[in-house]
This record gives sequence, C-alpha cells and structure tokens, in this order.
Amino acid sequence: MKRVLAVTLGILTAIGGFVDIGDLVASSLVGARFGFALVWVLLLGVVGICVYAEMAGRVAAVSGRPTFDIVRERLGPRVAFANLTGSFLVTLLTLAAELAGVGLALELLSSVSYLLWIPAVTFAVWVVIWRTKFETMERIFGLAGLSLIVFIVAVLHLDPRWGDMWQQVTHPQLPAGEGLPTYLYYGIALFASAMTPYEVFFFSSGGIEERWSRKDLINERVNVFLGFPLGGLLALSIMTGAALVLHPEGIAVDHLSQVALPVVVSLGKVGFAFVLLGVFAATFGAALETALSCGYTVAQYFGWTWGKTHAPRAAARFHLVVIVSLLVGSMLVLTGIDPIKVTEYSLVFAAVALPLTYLPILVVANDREYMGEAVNGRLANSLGVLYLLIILVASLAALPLMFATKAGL
Amino acid sequence: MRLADLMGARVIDVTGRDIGHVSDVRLTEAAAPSRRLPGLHVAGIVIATRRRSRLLAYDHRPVDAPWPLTALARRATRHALWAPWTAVTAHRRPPRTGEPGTVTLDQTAASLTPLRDMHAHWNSGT
Amino acid sequence: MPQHPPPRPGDERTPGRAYSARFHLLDRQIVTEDGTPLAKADDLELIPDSDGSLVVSAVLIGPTALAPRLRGRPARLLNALARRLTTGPTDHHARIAMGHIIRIGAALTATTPPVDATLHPLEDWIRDNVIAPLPGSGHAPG
Repeated sequence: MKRVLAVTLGILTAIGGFVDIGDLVASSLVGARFGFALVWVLLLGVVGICVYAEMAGRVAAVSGRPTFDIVRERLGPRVAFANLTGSFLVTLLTLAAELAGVGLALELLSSVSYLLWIPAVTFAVWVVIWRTKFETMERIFGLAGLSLIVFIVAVLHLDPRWGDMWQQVTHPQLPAGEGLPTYLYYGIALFASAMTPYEVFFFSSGGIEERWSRKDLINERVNVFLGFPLGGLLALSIMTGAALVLHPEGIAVDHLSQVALPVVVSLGKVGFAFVLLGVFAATFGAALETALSCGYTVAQYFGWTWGKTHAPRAAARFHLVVIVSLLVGSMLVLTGIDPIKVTEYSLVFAAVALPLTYLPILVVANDREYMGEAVNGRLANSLGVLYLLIILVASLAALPLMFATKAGL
Repeated sequence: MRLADLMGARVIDVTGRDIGHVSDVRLTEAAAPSRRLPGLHVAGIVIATRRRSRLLAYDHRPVDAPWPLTALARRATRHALWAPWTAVTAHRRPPRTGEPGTVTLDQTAASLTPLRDMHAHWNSGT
Repeated sequence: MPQHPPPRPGDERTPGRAYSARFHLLDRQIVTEDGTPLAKADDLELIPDSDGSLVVSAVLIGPTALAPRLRGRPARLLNALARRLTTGPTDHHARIAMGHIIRIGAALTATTPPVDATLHPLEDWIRDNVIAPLPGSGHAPG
C-alpha cells in the first residue's frame, strides 16, 4: 500500500497538467472537432513532460534545488524575472479557471450557479494549503481524481472499432471545413497544456517538500513514468470519447456538461456520478497545484523560505503570495469572464515562456557540480535537446497562429 | 563597493579603446597568512569582446553535454580575454543605477591572455 | 534537523579554490545549516585589502541589492520601489558577513541564526501583521 501511495505526487501533478478544467474541455473540444487527428500531439506531449519532469525531479532530489531556483541561477535575475512574470501570470490565470472549474462541478451537482460557489471554494483551497500535510493532500486529491478512469471504462464499453481508430491516429487527416492553421493552433495549445511549466514547478517543489534525496531516485522515476502517462491516458480517453460520440453528431463543446456526455451515453447515471467526483477532485487538485505553484515560483526566485513543512509564521511571504493569488484568482472569476476561454489563451502564452523554463533544467541536469554521477544519460540528453527544439518552434509559432486563426475560431 | 559595479562594466585598455565588458569575476580563496584579510579575493576579470557572448551560464562550467548546447557555448565564448586584477589600474562605479561602470587596464587587448576553453583551466590558475 | 539534502564533501571553503562570481556565488540560494532557505545571494560586497586587491566581505540580500543587477530601466524601477518600501536608511543593504558562509556548493550554507531583525524586514512585517493573526499560523502543516 505504501508503494502505491508513494506515487500520488506524480499522479496529482499529472492530473493538474492533463485533466484540469482547461484540458477537460480542450481535450473533448479537440476530440469533437478534429476526431483522432490530434492524438499524436498528446502522445508527443506525454513523452516531453516525462523527459523534463524526470530531469527536474532528479535535480531536486540530488541537489535539493527546485526548478525556479535554478531558473534564476542559470538565466540571471533579468531574464529569470521575465520568465517569472510570464509563468506566474499563466499559473494565476489557470488557478482562476480551476476555481471556476470546481464551482462548475458543484453547479452540475446542485444546480446552484458556479459563481455562488466561488467564495466557499476559494476558502476551502486556502484551508487545505494552510492546514493539511503535503502528503495527505496529494493522496486525497490524487486518488480521488482517479475516478476519471471512468472515461477509460466508458470508451471500452462503447467498444469502438479499434482498427479504424488506429488508422485515424496514425494517418491524421484534417476534417472537412477545418483549416491547417486552426489545426496547428489547437495542436500547440494541446502540446503546451501537456507541458505547462507549473507541472515541473509543483513536481520539483513537491519532491523537496517530501524530502527526497539521492536514494529516492527510483521513487522519483516511478512517479514520473506512472503519473504522467496515466494523466495522458485520461486525457486521451476523454478525447476518444468525444471523437466517438460527439464528433459524428457534430456537437461542439463549450461547457463542462458536454464533456460528460460520452460517459453518460456509455455508462448512464453511475458513470455520471464518477465523472462529477473525478472532475471535482481533479479541478480542486489542480487549484491546489496552481495556488502552491504561484507561491513556489515567487519564493524561489527571491530566495524566501517556502513550503508546507514550515509553519506559516516561518514562511510568511510565501503564504502571503498564495493568499493574494487565491484572492485575485477568485475575483477574476467573479467578474464573470469565461474561465475556459481564459485557460485557452493562457496556454498559448505559456507556450511562449516554455523554453525559458526547460533550458535551465537541461543545463543543470548535465552539470556535475550539482548532480555528481546522476547527470543526464545519452537518452535523456537526446530527448531533452529534441524537445527543446520542438518547444522553441511551438513557442515561436504560438502567437502568430493565435492571431492568424483568431484564437482557433 | 559592490560586485554589481564590476559585472558588466565597460573595459578600457591603455590606449583608451573600449575592448569589451566584464563578463565574470574570478575569486580565489586565500589562505589567511598570505594576505592581510582572509577570504575570497578578486583574482581577475573575464572580458567578453563580443556583445553576444553570454550563453546561459554554459561557459566555464565543467559541462560537456548535450552536444548542440556546448558547441554553441564554446562558439559564443571563444573571444574571451583574461585580465589579472594587477592589470587593472582604475575602476569607476556606474554613473546611475542600472548602467555599466568602467574598468581601465594598464595594457592593450593584444597583450592579454585569450581564454579559449575557459572551463578547463578555471580551477587550475590561469 | 540535519541539512537536507546532506552537504557534499568538498563544498567546504578551502584555501586555493577558485570560484566564478557569476556561477558559484551570484543568484545562489543561501540556506541555514538545517537546509531552510534564507535568501538569494543578490550581490557581493567588496572591500579593498592593504595590497590593493579586493576581498569579498559580505553577501548582500534584498531588493535594493538586487535592483542594479536587473540593468536599465527595470533596475531603476525596482530600486525606486524598494527605497520607498524600506524604513531604515536607504543606502543600507541587508547583509550576511562572508565569514558566516561555510560551504559553497549547489547552495551557500550560512551559520547566521534565522532570527535576525535586519535580515528580512519585509518578512517580519508580513509575519507580524498578516500571517501571525490568522488561526493556526504557528503549526507546520507538514
């Protein structure tokens, strides 16, 4: 049992990256619009986040330095500050969307508007950060988020023609009426959502909160190679469900309730109950992940004391950043802006900031002064360089594509 | 004074020519008896003679992988020069916050030692 | 609590070792002996020795120390902001004497006691006025 619980950090991190509110909607939206034509991007993203989360976690375990610490150390205060501004804003916008996501899950359950839930949700997230042990937190929300496995069950129960599906995955074709720029725009959004920087911030900082050391490297790798592919599989099953049920009917996804449709069609009310629980846990977990990441990035840039292993009194500035982020995030939602649009835009801006986060990780993971014998091997370096190139291309193309396609309309 | 006054400062050689900027400062740990004050002494400065010659902290690190990044870093730092602190005749603070200071040398750029593979002889005493 | 992760042999300061100011000292995290993050090394203070060389006397920390290193306009903006936020003399920087830095590795280890009123005035103010009044602020969630 202890072994099983030891991987919940990886699971919670991956849930925040792959099946948080933005991805729940984005995955089914992409499935409904493009069928299976973008599945390869998701697979590309899963491998990419595995490569870099493993590196960041290894650096954290061996040298004790979390990701944003080394971002400032390697890039210098000026460039790192630009990265801090970008990454913090993206994380804050995502936090706002997650708060709304928890509210939307409660709205589906209670028929009370999500806006009315926001103050209570924000307070609950803060109480968990303020009072709960890091490991308890990741176990509860990591494991409860696994109810989303119901999407996998639903797809299996729909019993699709696997041969056909495989054909469409390996030979992606543009659906009629969709342009190539729009296809690429959603591809980049999907890739950026798989590789969102707050995943590595949270994962590396979480490793330090759990006091990982060199001898925990196996545990660290199991977390990465179980957690992220599982998150990716959940996102894939959501996309597949949408592609099977919504795509043929021409149903467009713009609300959380449509995300659950494939499960309802396949498994009925019981399935729907699991979806609700899973969405609640996943969005709540992602809200914790992003709220903590806001604090981690700022505290690590400025070198403050941070983390849940210290009493809030002893890490006052860190906790203040978390509180202010939660307040600003909830007020953003209360203005009534569409939370799902917010994450879509923020993902594209995240793509622009990605190289500045991943390059320092790659550099430090090769540095023997930090890593001793645990430096990158040939495989990690080849994949690291390859993905750095992909990230660079994606980050350069993100904004032009966004303007060219009017954000995927 | 502060290290920030030196880092990035313009370097003027004995003829009054601007030969580049200070890209790094080398510090050596002195044994107490050999100097008046124990601790880290400024041994000298690394002068970058090209504008774009700092690449993400790869120069003078004992890092030899991954290949494309190290190749870029070597290329970017191949015109670096080394000036021991004894060659520095004067250093001035920046005129205002955020602008570079100035360091004056007692020799010409041509007489300074080039640092080709900086990281290799960083710890062996240049 | 012992330092975590444990300090590596060879990180101790030994005579004859050379360091790069940019890569070994500036922007490194300073931790206390139990591994708690204390501050970033924002700048170094240099004083002249009798033979004309310069010696590092202290690590400077805090926004006023960081400001000039941002270069250009951001430097002046942060400097102006930090000056308005400080209560003490404006040309004073929070500092950790170099003698307190005992190890130079992936982080700098300092022997400074964590309770030092001149080190983190902002942290102290936020703790006393915002965080401490909230219930449960004295217990580590773990």
